[in-house]
Order: sequence, then structure tokens, then C-alpha cells
Amino acid sequence: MTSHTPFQGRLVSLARDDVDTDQIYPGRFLSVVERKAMSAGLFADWPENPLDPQVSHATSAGPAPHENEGILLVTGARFGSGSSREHAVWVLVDAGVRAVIAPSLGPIFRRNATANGLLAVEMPLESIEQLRRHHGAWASCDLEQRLVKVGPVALAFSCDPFSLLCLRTGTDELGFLLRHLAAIAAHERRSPTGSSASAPHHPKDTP
Amino acid sequence: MTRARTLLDKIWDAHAVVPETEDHPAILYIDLHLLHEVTSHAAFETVSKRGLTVRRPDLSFALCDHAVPTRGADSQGRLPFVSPATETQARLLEENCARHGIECRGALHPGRGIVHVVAPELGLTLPGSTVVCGDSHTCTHGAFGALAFGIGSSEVGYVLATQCLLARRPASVCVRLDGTPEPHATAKDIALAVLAALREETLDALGSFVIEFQGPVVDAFSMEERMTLCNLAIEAGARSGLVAPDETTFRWLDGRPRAPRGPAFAQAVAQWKTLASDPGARHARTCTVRLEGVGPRLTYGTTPAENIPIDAPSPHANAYMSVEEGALLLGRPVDVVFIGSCTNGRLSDLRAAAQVLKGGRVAPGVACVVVPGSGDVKAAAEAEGLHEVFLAAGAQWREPGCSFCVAMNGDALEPGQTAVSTSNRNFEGRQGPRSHTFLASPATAAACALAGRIADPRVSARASGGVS
Repeated sequence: MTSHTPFQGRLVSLARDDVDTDQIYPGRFLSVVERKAMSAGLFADWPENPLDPQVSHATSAGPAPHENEGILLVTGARFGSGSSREHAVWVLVDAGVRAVIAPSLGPIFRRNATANGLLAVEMPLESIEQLRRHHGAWASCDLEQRLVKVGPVALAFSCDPFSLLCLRTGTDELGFLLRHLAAIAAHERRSPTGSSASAPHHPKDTP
Repeated sequence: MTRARTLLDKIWDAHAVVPETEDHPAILYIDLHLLHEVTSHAAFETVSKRGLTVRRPDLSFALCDHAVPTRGADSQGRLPFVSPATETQARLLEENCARHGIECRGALHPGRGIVHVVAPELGLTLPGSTVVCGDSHTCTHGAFGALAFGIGSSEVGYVLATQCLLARRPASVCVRLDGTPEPHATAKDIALAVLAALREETLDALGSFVIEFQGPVVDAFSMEERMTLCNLAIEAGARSGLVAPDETTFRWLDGRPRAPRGPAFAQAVAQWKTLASDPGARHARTCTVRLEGVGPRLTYGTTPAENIPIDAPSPHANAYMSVEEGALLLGRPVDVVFIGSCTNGRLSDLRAAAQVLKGGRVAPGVACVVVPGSGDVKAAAEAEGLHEVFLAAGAQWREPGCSFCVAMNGDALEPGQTAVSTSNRNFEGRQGPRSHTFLASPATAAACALAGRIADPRVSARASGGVS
């Protein structure tokens, strides 16, 4: 995972609440196992893909989009709610989304975003509404200062410090866990079946 | 420790291998890792690519449920997978599990079923434990007083490799259910009413939170009813739901094949009895939901929380659902009725549906599809003759699987079709592009199947003399 500092891109406003992961990536595409083939699922059941530069540029006063430029998506409450499908994060990242900014996020989506280098942050509604006015403009996220900057505006966001560290430095959560195997083993020794309560035992099915 | 702790605190503290600091989350040990075919392959690939192994195959259990067909195998023993891709996914799960020594019930296993139905019925889910799965409705297992939540494929990989996750302690929200609902209110109706009530509570502001359900109605719930309630916690934006274990829980677990047995069971029960929020424990929020007047409910919109009494006018318009503000839902034509899912696919749910369907006929032009949640549920239902009730009424009786809920196995709606579904999501297009979903209880769904329209199950019951 490469580090992105700062996260920059075209601000795209998707002014809709409750954009759940079924909208972002419908269920029938969950049988696709090859990452490259998944992009066909992105907002597949919507009349328009809001991340398509032709679509987002059509409603903005900003300059024409460049190829491969990043996107900072400003959206509504409970973005990414619903199903745990990480595919929703993968297809957003592959479409160039570098940050998702919303009043609230689906709990599993928030975790999946961190695992994939996608900045997903929450901001108060008043800040979201200010950002929306800059649809189509170039924006950046400063991870050190925790600010979204667009035009003259700089607005604060909140984000878990560890998630920010992972995003800033490309630190990998699995790597962090693997550095603590001794502590994990010690926990297992204290509770031999793997937990402090009695854990299930697993006699394998007999045929 | 003298501090009064919530149930969430007690489970958390016992599993934090490395405690959380400002700089990093806690490392949380996972007692039970459930896997299915859709979200596991990418995780197994990560484990392979990084030259790692599965740390605790003995604490892992896998099932094919999401994309498995619900029609049986042909004379050659081949299942009618809807696509080569779904067949590949099922095969990959079995191969990945075989390679790593993980117990797997594949697509042809007679004991297969929905992961959140099978694990509890085996006694795999235990009070005070941590349970994760690459599926958002993992919160269902909170009914046992387990901390159970859904994770994405990357985190599935972390658990495979280390049996741990990075997590920060969520806030504990106490939701008390008070008052006596109407006699026809089922656990599903109560859960829907709770979602509607919690919409007003702005719990989003808490960030990550777990709901602990309390109150006499919850105490009186069976384990299956508690699972229905906790299943919908995710739809309130919660990380999970929790119900403190009690005699009902212990009776369920006693004798289950994978639960502690003999003297170990008695020992376990003694420990499980400590799993309750201490008197005086402080939750981040406490809400009371009053259940007086709660009866059969139906969603009107495109999130589960947008639901009302089935005979009420819609408080809002929803263009996608063709619902106008003030419009009644009763009487709307229905094409498909789905009875099943991890929400309502257990034996008590099938009994409730059979009670309504008994002696009646599914309306012409309506497909009523009944999908048992597991092989065990199917066998138990057949032993009681429930399948004969369904078939005599003109309903379809299928093999276990997620089926119409996630609609990726071929069980899906055509564009423009309307379903009444006992599942957990009515998002736009959830059951098929341009399809419409009304969420309801099994009894309500069965009443709609008989009428061919949105129908009040109380009217059905009165018409048939109130008894079956």
C-alpha cells in the first residue's frame, strides 16, 4: 500500500443519505472474484454513476477533469451502511476515490476503508453543506492537520489517530498484529481453549 | 475491580490481548470465526501471499450459504448453481478450508445452512465469547451474550492469520423495551418498532456502539426471538446487539453438540451467570422503547427503520416504492413472498407461517417461497409436517440458504416485482434491480401470500376463527 500525503482530488458531491453498500455494489456482483472485473458493479443499478467524470463534471462549474485524477466524495448520512461487503470499498478506490466525507458512516464500511487506504471521515452537517458548495473544485485532505481544504475553506474532520497513521505511512494493520504474536500466545495460554469463558470444542463431523 | 461494568465491558476486558491506547486500538482475541464463500477467498489469498498460515483452524467454522442454490441436486448430484462463478466460489471455500484444516459444510452437506442459524443451533456460539464473520448480520449471535460483529474480507484475513482484530471499545447503549405489545406482535414486529423508535435517538453521533437490550419483553423472548431482535441491530447503525445470558440461554445450550458437556457445562454456566451489566453500570446512552400498541408492522420505505403499523398510512412518500405520503400499504399487490433468512428462518418462524397458511391457498400468480435456515431446521419442520402445510397451500419448500435475502443465487425478483420478505433489508434493488421489498414477520408474510396483497395477519386469524 503506497502512502498518499495529502489526499487530493476533485470534490464530488453526492447529496444523498443512506447510500448503502447494496447501492455501491449490488449483490449479484458478489460472485466476481477477480478485482479488475468488479468495476462493472459500481453503482450498477443507478441510472448514472455519480463518480463518472462526465456525470460529475456536468453539474460543476469547475475545470474539465483530468484522466486518473482522484476524487474526494462528499456525501450524506450513513454512507456505506448495510452489508459488510468490502467490494464496495474496492470499487470506490479503483474509481479513484481517495476520501469519503460524510456526517456518518456505516460501522463496517469505516473499518474496510482503513484496510484499503481509503480515508473515510465524519464531519458535522454544517461542514458537509459548506463543502457541497464546492462541487467540482480541486480539494485536498491534510492528514497531519486533519483538515479538508477547498478554495478558501479549511474544515476540520475527526478520524482515529491509528487509522490516520496507517493512511499516512502505509502501515499495515496485519503487520501490527503480527508484531504482537507473543502477547496473543500469552492470552491463549491463560485461557487454553482460546477465551476466558469456556470456548466451544470442535469435534469434527464424522462422515 | 470495583468499577461497575457493563456487559460489553466484561466481554471486552476479557478479550483485550493488548489494551487500547490513544495511539492504537486494542488487539481483541476472537473465540469463534465463522466463514462463508463470498467474503473468505480474498482473505485466504492474503494469508497465502504473505506466507502465513491459519493460526486457529480449531476456532473456525465455514459454511456455503450466500450463493448456494435452494433447489436440490439433480440425479447426478449436481446443484443448479446460477452461474459458474457462484459454483467456483463454493468450490474455493471447500478447497481453502481443506488446505488449512478448517471444518467446512459445503454446498452439498446435509447439515449446511445459513451461518447465523447453524452456529447457534450447534452450540458454537457461547455467552461471553467474541464471534466474528465476514457478514453484517453476525450481530445475531449477540442474543447469547456474545460480542459478535461483522467484518470485511481484509479483517477476515487478519483473524485467519492471528485470531485477532484491531478494535476500539464501542460505546454501550442500553435499550430497554417496556410495556406490553399487542397479542399478535412477533419478535420481528417488535424489532422493527425498535428500529423506528431508535431513528429519533441520533445514535450515529456516538460513532461505534453496541446495543444491550433489556426489559421484561426481552427476558420473556425465546432464543430464536432474541436472535431476530439482535439480527436487526446493525440496521440501527450499531456494531452489534447484546442480550445478557440467563436460564433461557443455558437451556438452549444444554446438550448442544458443540457446547461444553457434563461437568464442564455446569462450570461454564456458573461463569456465564456473571455476564450481566452490574447494577449502576453507566452506559453511554439509555433509551426506553415503549411497546404498547405495537402490532404487526411493515416497512414503507427503503431502509428497515422506515416501518409502521401495517394498517397505518405512510408518514412519508417514497418514490422508489411508489408510496405516497398518507397512502395505505394494505391492499397493494404482491408477486413474491419470501419466508426465510437469518432473521426469520428458524423453526418457530416456520411454525408461525404454517399456522397462517394452514387450510388456505397461496393467491394465484404469487410465488410463496419458504426456505428453512438450515438442514436441522428443515428436518425438524418436516418431522412436524410443516412442509406438507406449505406444499398443500401451494407454497414452495426449498433447501437451506440465504436465498432471496441477498438474492445472489438465482432466487431474485424480476424488475418491477414486489415482495413481502421476512429478511432484514429493503434497500433499493436489494432483491433484484428495480424490485420492491416490504419487510415483515413470517405470519404477516404468510397472510400476504394468501391474499396476494399486503394483508393484515390479524384479519386472517379472525377470518379463520383465530385458531389453527
